[in-house]
Amino acid sequence: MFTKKAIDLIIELRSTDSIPHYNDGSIKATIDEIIALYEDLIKTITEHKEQKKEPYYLTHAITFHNSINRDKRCILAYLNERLNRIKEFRWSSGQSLLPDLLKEKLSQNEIQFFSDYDKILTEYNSKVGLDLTVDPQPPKELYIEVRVIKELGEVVLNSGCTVNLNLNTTHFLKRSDITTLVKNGSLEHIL
Amino acid sequence: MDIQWKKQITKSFSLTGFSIKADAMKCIINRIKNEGYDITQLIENLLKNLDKSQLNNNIIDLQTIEGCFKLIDTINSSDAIEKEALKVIDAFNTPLFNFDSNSKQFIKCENFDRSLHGSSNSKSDLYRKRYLKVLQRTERNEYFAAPVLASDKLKNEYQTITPLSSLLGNTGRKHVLGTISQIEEDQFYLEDLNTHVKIDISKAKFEFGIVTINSIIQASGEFIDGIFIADKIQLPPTEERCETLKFLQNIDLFGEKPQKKTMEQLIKYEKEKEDNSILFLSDVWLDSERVMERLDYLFGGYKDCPPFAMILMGNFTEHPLINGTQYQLKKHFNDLATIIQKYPNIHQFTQFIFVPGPTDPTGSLLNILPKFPISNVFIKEFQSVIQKSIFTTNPCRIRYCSQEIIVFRDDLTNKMRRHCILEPSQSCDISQHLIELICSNSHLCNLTLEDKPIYWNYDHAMSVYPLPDILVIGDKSNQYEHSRADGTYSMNPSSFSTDYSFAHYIPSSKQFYYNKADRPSEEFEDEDEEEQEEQEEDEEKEEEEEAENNDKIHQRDTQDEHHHDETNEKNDEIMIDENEKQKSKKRNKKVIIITKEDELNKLEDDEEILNSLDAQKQNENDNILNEELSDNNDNNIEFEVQEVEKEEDEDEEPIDNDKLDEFIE
Repeated sequence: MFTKKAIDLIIELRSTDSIPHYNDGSIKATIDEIIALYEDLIKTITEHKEQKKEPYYLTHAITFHNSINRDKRCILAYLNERLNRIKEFRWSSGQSLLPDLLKEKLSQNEIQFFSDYDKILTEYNSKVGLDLTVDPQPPKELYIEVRVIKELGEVVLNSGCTVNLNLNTTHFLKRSDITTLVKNGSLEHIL
Repeated sequence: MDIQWKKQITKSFSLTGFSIKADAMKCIINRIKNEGYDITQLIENLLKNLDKSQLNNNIIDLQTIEGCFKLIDTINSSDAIEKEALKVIDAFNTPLFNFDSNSKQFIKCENFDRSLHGSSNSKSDLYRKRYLKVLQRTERNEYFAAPVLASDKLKNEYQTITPLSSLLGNTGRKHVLGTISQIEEDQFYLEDLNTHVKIDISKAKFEFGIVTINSIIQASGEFIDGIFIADKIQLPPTEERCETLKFLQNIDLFGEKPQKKTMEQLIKYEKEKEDNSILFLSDVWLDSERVMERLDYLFGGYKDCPPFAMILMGNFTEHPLINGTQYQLKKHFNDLATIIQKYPNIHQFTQFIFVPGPTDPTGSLLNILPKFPISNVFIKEFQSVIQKSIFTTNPCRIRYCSQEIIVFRDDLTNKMRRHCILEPSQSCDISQHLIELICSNSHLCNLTLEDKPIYWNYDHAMSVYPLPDILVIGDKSNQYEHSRADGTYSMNPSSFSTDYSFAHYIPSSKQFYYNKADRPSEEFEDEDEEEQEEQEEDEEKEEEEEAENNDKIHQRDTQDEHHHDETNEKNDEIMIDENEKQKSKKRNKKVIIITKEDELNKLEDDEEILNSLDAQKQNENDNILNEELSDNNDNNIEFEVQEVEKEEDEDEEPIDNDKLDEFIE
């Protein structure tokens, strides 16, 4: 069946909410299919110019043409959805770096997209002077208690004070100082 | 004050999603205090130059900041790009990539076993990696790619590579890809990842390349009674460099790939610097007096336009240094240093790269590849004098701006010919067969480990995948150069010590010139010999003309100094940039120019010639010149030289080769 590979791509993406591995193989195969279909289509049209009104050739041409379009749509949808998820990751994590785990799953172009997108966002943030990704919901308390999950050592916080964030220690800190650290998983909020 | 700075810095960093460590903060504050930077500007600068690809978490530590400051400093200094232009990647620092057959991608392997004494796994891995690399490339080849449309698949017209394990019970003509091995005597086997089968190559048709034991071949034939009877054997198809790069996307198998921004700068630099050149010399015997003389002479030729880099390949001694005589090498290198110091331009601008040869004393006596650089003991003094010198491994990779160069010094032609099991055809030169084998096997020396030992854990350093822009093989055999269809240029500069030949490469135009540092100051025994050499030179000239007969002006430069003056006078109207061009071209012929100058110096005894030249300078009257020349008829050579000159003066179009032939005769 035509466009099988392309549909598989979409199904694969829909089965999960995270970002799956970039399926380079299927995309290439789909593109190859588009090329093959296109060549076949052109061949039929040019060879049977006179009989083009006949339903036999007409349906053939339409089927092929639609298959090409479907392939194209599927690939574009696949890429677009991935980009949306990458953007979402940037907003929800507040990180300007891709963790290795995620980096493996992205294609080179997507990594490039992420860093470009990140650049635009940080530029805007620094112009406004406010990190937009922080606190999409209004916070309830000013200070929170956190536990260190990843060894960090001495870190300077936004308020200018230096804190010794050693592994497994707990601290009572200003929320705005450490939201980024909590988000990227270095600290854990103790409720 | 401090606390406010701290606040500002952390705020700027946290806006970009980074947290900053105390020691890094101290470093920044110190810098602001000591060197009086403007704080906002400094932060901006830091954030701009922060190499995000190098970071592995969001915490910025001292190391990152220091690296960043270093980067800022280099950007501000002018010669930063020059430093970036040439990178040498030695064999022990080549990155290792494994092909993952599931995701069909190369994945970088960061912590592989770096021991020289590999485990037993390393040995089998080595063969598997070599095979996989070729297999993935072959499967992508047009010829073997499965058709896309299901309906076409039914036609059964396409070819596939059949794994050896599925040959049994599978009738018909098959294509297989495997490594040739000889598990038992007198019987060749073909191996792939899973199994081995006997192969009968006696009836096979074989056209191009060399096949040795251990090389990977693609065989077509039938599997009958447990033996694969091959009717055709060929080396696996190669893949064009750009195709490979497209497949690899941004994965850098070569190593030291600069960042995108620097790459753009480098490409610009590469195009702008038309004068930059790289010299390749192989077999430079530093202990031989005559070789040193020629080296001196060669440096003399380049003293006004020093080459950008000079790659000197071993062996650095005529006879291998054994039994404690190795320390002589120190002296030889010091001698070389004194020669280099004689030419301040070369000393200052040229980057020397030393690649050891098979017999050079680098650690063990055994010639195991990759070969270590020459030990520090011998070269400490040399390096303290010649700062711009790099001692690297054999083989090594060199990245000049956007171009990738692989340098390997080994007498491969000889070795491969000796070990080949199928007679290479006579249709083309043996070197062409050799290069074909190297490229198709993606390996510099695919012999059995007994014939050519290789450190198992560093086999990837011998890889030639993706095909480099330039493959330089230092071989004792005759000079050769082959421009391949897949975009790789391979060449052999031949042995400098035997015939003083070397290769001159201009990266901006991707042009190679082959020159000889011939005849520095020897006296000639008689006229005949001189005449003969003159003829040779004319022939050389002719070849050069063929190569670039459109540029007439520089041709005259190669003639002689006096004449050059004259042309300059004559061509006052020539635009300056054209002169520039002329100069850069002239450099290619430098060595030959000097030869001629020497010769003319000798001829200066002859007053008549000087007169004639003066006359030529003053009035440029061809008739007078002819008359004067006829006076000197007894001296054939000068007559010839000037005839040629005259001819070139007269017509601005390329010289007719036939006419020149007549002269020579």
